[in-house]
Amino acid sequence: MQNIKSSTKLILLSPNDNIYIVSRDISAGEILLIDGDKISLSVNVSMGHKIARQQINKDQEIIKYGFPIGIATMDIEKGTHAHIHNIRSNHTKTYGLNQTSDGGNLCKDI
Amino acid sequence: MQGYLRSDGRKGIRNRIIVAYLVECAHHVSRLISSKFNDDDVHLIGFPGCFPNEYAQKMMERLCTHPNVGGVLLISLGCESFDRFKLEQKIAASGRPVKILVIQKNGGTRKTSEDGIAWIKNAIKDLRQQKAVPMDHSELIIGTICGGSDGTSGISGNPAAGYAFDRLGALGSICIFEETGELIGCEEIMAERAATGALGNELRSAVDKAAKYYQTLGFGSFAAGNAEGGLSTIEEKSLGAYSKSGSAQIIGIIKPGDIPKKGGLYLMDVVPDGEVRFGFPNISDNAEIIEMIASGAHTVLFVTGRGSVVGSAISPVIKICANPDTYDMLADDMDINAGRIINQGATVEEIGDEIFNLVEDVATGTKTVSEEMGHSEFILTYKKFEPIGPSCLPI
Repeated sequence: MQNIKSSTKLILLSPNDNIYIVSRDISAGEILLIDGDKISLSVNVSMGHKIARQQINKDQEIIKYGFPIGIATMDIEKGTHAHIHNIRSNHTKTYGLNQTSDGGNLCKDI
Repeated sequence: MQGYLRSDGRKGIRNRIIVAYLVECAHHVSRLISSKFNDDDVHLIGFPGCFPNEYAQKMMERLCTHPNVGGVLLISLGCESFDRFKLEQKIAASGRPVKILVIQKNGGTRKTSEDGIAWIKNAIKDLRQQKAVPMDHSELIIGTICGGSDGTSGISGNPAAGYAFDRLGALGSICIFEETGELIGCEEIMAERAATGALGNELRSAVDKAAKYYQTLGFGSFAAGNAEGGLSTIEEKSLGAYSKSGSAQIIGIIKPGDIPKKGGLYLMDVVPDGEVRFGFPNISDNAEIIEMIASGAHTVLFVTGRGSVVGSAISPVIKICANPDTYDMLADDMDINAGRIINQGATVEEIGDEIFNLVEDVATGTKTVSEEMGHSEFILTYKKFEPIGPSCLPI
């Protein structure tokens, strides 16, 4: 489960995952190479957050560590920040504050 | 490693005096007493409620007879429901020095605190005469918890703690992981690791119970900081948390205060039984830490991403920082920088070995950073449990 293949910015935890983990803070506008495509991030994405490795359709499962971690609540385009604004739990709803510790917004694209 | 031998054969890696208040009304007097002493020597614990609770009684009995404890001073107001007589008997039967001071019978705040301070001064002298004896890995009980988790926890700190668990378990240590509310979504892969089919079913039921409990409460075991740190759902948090259990076979399930006998890996079920009552099963990290200590944990591995600074009363807490940015901000509060897995190319095995070595050092007397700074947090509230089922313990 923990066989990390890390590029400088993205971590793939399991071959079947449809998301990457961001291994350092990435600013909006930075260009990432995601499975052959150059994609510019539209928002800042912090370390430990997820971006879509491929197009994920509404109601499709999000796969991390090779296991489902939730359901897409809307279509998520490749290279987009995947988080509580576009993923829901299959169990209990997720509680988050809209404002981050730094005073920013948790998901700018809400 | 070395420990202080107790009459039940267990060994403690610390030799502390506990001051325990038996109702919130006796808290301040207890604090007046404990604050006169060095953090290494005297820790403060207690139960705030005025009304009886079997779980709290069992927890206090287990904590006051924990191998890291060498003597106990109980502070009672006098009219609370807590059975101080039974607690005193249990402590005395364990061979430890114990004293009860009842504030209502002892002349109030000043007189009780003076008497308590005098009693502890004497008790410490006796404790210092006690010599530590050699201790083996097979005599150790280790807990693991994660708190302030974020998107890095399940990649670096938790798997490294799991690796250390695998090494400790292989040497006969009792290893306890917990928080069934943070294993939701992992029940099937976890059940496959159970020693028996019946135990696998018990593991599934424990997680199912947690899922229903949290469903009723309306929130999962998920805090706002988890989301800020990149975790989107309870299932995602669970899969990260699950990795601190390592890869060994799971040989049993225990509930808070149950003390395993056989070395190996156990799940602690911390979610109360029966209908939902008394609120959240784990209102904060220290509630879970103290439950593992009540089950005999000599030390607890605490993996944090957002950055927790806590320690615990009774047993040292080893803090493992999963997130390299958090480590830079809070380096003084962390024992291990597992964030190096994320940004410096360290492997899970390397950090796991560091954790293993630190457990040995801490069990030889080295202080953890939270101990150095006097952290000795404690919380205990109301809960209700039924005894574990027959398939839950190893054959």
